[in-house]
Amino acid sequence: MNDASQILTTLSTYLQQIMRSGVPREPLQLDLSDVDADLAAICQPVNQFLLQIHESFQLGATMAEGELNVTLPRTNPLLMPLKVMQSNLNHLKWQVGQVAAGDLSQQVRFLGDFSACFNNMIESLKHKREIEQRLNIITSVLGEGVCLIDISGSLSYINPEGEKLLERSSADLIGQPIISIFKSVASAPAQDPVLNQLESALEQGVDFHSRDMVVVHHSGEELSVALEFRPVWQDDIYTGAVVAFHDISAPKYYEEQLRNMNQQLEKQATTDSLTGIYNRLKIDNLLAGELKRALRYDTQLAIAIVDIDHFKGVNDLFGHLAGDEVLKDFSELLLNSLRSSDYLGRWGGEEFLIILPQLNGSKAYKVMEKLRKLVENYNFSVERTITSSFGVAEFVSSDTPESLIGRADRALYSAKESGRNFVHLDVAS
Amino acid sequence: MSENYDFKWSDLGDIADGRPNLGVETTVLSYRLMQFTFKDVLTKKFGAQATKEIFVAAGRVAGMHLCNQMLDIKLPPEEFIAALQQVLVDLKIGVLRFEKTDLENLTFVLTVAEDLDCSGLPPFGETVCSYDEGYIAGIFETYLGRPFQAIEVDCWATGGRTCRFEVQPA
Repeated sequence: MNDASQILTTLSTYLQQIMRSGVPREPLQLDLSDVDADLAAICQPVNQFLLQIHESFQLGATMAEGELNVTLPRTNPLLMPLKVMQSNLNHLKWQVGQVAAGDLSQQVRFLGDFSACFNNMIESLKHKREIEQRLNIITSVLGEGVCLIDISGSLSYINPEGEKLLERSSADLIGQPIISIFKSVASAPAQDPVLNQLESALEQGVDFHSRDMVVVHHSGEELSVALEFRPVWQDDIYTGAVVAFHDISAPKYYEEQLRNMNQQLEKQATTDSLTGIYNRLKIDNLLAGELKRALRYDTQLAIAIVDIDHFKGVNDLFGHLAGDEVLKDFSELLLNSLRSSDYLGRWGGEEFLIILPQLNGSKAYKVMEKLRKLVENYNFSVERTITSSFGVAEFVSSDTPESLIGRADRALYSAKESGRNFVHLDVAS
Repeated sequence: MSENYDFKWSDLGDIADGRPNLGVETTVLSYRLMQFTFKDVLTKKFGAQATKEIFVAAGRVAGMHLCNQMLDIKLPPEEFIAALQQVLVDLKIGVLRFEKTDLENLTFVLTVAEDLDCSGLPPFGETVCSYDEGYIAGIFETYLGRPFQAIEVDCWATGGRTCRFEVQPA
């Protein structure tokens, strides 16, 4: 075999190996040391080409492993497509970095499927950003703190209003457990039933609402908030929750004020301003109620009308202010001597009505007799003995408030007729 | 034309009005024909280095005017880059792609594929896009308000398939 045939055979074997299993680790170089000069000159570019094949394969393999900074020599034209790919991939790498930094103004042009895929992703991210911006606007306009909670119960988003209400920045709040941010008006966290309910709602993915929550600012000041917890379910999978909350400290304050005011008004509407006991309106209502109760449950009931004897004389002799003091002492004396279940009201000028539930006429008589003696023996602020007369009546099923009071009034009249400082029980009962 | 001519954008004329039938665009062939014949004459008259410097200087003037006329230099960097890419595609100058941007040190590596000046040229063994170097430097200079230089490190004429420029403050 001559030199040329031998070289061609070597080349053929090498090319077959390449076609079968790729370019070998070591490049083939034809040995031209012992061939004639003409043949060596012909084979020289072949050796150069063999090196370029080897170089292209090796650099291609390196880039395929993700090494994009490899230097592709200018002298190897086989590397041209690889250079295009290298520059495209470097550009894509840069684009990905830009997107990761929030730059959605970029487009990939003229890179076939890469362009379509990348640009679609950008459109999708732009859409998502638009939704987020709208969500931000909506949640800002709402004037309500809104936060998103992930499945672990940690905060993943909070709107500016929420930051304002909590007096904490978004960066400070993201990742914090929701139950560490809110607490209830109640006691310590371990015994906090409202917080436990929130925790339970968080675990089970159910709705929760409370107007008894507070947030504690860094200053230690507490802000009352109303909180709405709504779980988010996607394809039957619990993925987290939305929590909305707003400041209710002003409404709470006004509610408290209103409650106090109503209590005061109610007291004014039902209380005699001089003596502090029930007024005519209230004691009338109480009597009507007790009559119904006695009738329905078939229980006993008695009433008494009490009148201070010769009270006009007290006013005339000692003046109205002294008379008022007598009225106050008198009502206090009666009130302190009655059972807590009895009712005492000022019926008129110096007349009082006593309601005695679950007491019959004779027992009521005895109680009133005790009161009469108490009054008689009490040292009032005027230098005069104060006595009183009592008309007692026992409820019968046919009674109306008017008829019962009428009988008590008749009994009082009888007591007065008997010389005053007397208790008289209505004979009809 | 006066002895010292100062280019103005308006000197480009109303192309649409002047070319109602042929339109505002021309061929790459005619562009290159003009550029390479200029090179032919200039290198013979002033030498290769001086010719390169002339092309860089002319490219800088073009880049600065283009930036002022066709781009909004008040845009933030990301948006400016996107707008610049679009303008270069619209004018069919080339496909500008970035590989590295360092806004702190103001250094950039960018490529221009399908470049008007060189894509498809036979290998000369040296970079040829001197006009582009000036053009890119002029744009960066106008946008960032300080002198820049762009060096072409890979070119179609050096065996690359895209032109690669390294840009940095001058």
